[in-house]
Amino acid sequence: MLSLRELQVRFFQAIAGEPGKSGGFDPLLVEAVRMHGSLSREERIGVYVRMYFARLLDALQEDFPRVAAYLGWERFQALVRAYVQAHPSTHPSVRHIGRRFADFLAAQPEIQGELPFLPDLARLEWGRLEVFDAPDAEPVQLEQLRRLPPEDWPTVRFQVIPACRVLHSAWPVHEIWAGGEGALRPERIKPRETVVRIWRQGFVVYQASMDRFERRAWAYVQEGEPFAALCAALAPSCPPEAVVQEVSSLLLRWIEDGLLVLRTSEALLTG
Amino acid sequence: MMPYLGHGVGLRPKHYPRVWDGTARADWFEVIAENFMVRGGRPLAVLERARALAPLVFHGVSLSVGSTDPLNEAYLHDLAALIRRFQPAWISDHLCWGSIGGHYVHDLLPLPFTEEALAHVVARVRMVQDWVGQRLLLENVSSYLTFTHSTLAEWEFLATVAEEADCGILLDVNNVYVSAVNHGFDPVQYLRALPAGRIGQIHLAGHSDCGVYLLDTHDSAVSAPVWELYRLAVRLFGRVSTLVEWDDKIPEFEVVCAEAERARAIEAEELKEADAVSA
Ligand SMILES: [Fe+2]
Repeated sequence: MLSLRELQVRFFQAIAGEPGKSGGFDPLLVEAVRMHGSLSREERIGVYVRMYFARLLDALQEDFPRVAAYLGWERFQALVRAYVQAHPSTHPSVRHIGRRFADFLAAQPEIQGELPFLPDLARLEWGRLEVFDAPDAEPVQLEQLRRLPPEDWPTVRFQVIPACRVLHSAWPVHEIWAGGEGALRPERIKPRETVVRIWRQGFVVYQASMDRFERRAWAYVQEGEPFAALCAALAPSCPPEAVVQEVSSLLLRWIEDGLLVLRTSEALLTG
Repeated sequence: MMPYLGHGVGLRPKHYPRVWDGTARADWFEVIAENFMVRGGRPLAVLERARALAPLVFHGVSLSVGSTDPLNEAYLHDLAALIRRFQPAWISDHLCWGSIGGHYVHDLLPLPFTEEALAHVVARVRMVQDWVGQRLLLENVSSYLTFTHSTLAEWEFLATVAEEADCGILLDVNNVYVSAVNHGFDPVQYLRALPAGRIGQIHLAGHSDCGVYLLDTHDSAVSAPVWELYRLAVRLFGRVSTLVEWDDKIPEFEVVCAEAERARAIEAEELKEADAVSA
């Protein structure tokens, strides 16, 4: 008689592990299943095998709709099967099942050959999911900054909201995403260095590509550098008389996008 | 066992917009606890609104109380934090296992009904109740296989766990029916064997007929034999908070509510009859 632990280990192996060489189930597990009615013991185990895979397939399809569309249903299913065998869920919530899917895709030689942009498309889809339920924040409002005396500007510091990710890709991954589910033909997609920010404003997830100037400025904001340091660092990128103007308009956009919070030392502004 | 909340519906993401605009009305809402173990965004904001509309109950799917893995402390921590924040009327999970070796199957797997499993589950339920500081309702699951080394009937196992662990029972009438067909037992005997004082909640849901077995799909209206079994449950257990689950091919909110209303009408009929008999 199998102990509870042995039974559970064997049951898990039967539904989530690789099929045995003979294609059948573990004989000790089969023996432990009671025979009744017209359904065989193997068929009874099979119900759980199918449900297990169907549930995870469903979850991954929901998390990666565009990746699934590019792959086509058959191929997506086959890759999901290999993926969940290699990386069974380790989290009580199925929400996390796709955490390693992009890396898994990147490690598949045939994906690298035929759909080289696909791992980054998966990263983008995963990033959107990540910001969807990331911690809330209170983004700084323009009104708050308007009340700021000009002499305080050089020292003002911001922080990026938690519901924001930046994705670097060799592909215009945001355009591939926006092309809809399978609308773009893979052979027409050409590589182009791209940086995309993905963020949530209210409950809506957005994404936008960042140009070179914005990327440089972003790096400083992420470091929590004050406004003056931001301007100084970006000075070589544009004419000196324009730099404050350029940085200000960039900040304005970020604030309108709800991307920034004030660092605590500036919180007194809100009073 | 638990306060009587009437006839509620399971709240699913499809109906979040109706919660958001305040038009989702029900006696109470049951929500899947794991869906809210997130750090921010829409799910938690919706739950705040839902709480303002009706009492909440948390229904877990990943406690894995029957697993021989150690209890997942991070999970219990998250669950306790959710309870502190949203103050549900009660919490429930399933009498099953769903994880082993640190891996989750996201399914409700059957336990063998043995003395070993009984002692294990009783000890674990006590630990969980201690951790979250309140009583847990345990739900019977639908199953597609049973084990040769089981020495107890499912209803004996469920009743004994409830008594020995001092927890409540979430009686899923549809699951009783599905398992009864799949394993050839009498669902009436099942219900009659349960301790009335421990039934804290009832679940109703639809299933699918796969020919040689029934599958617990929650994708349709409650079937006629399950309504009959619900009548018996009302006669045996009296007024018990009842909830309609609909998880797949989810219809408009009003359709789910109509099922809850039907349950309410059946409860009223059965209780009236019982009153007439005793008068
Ligand atoms: Fe249920």
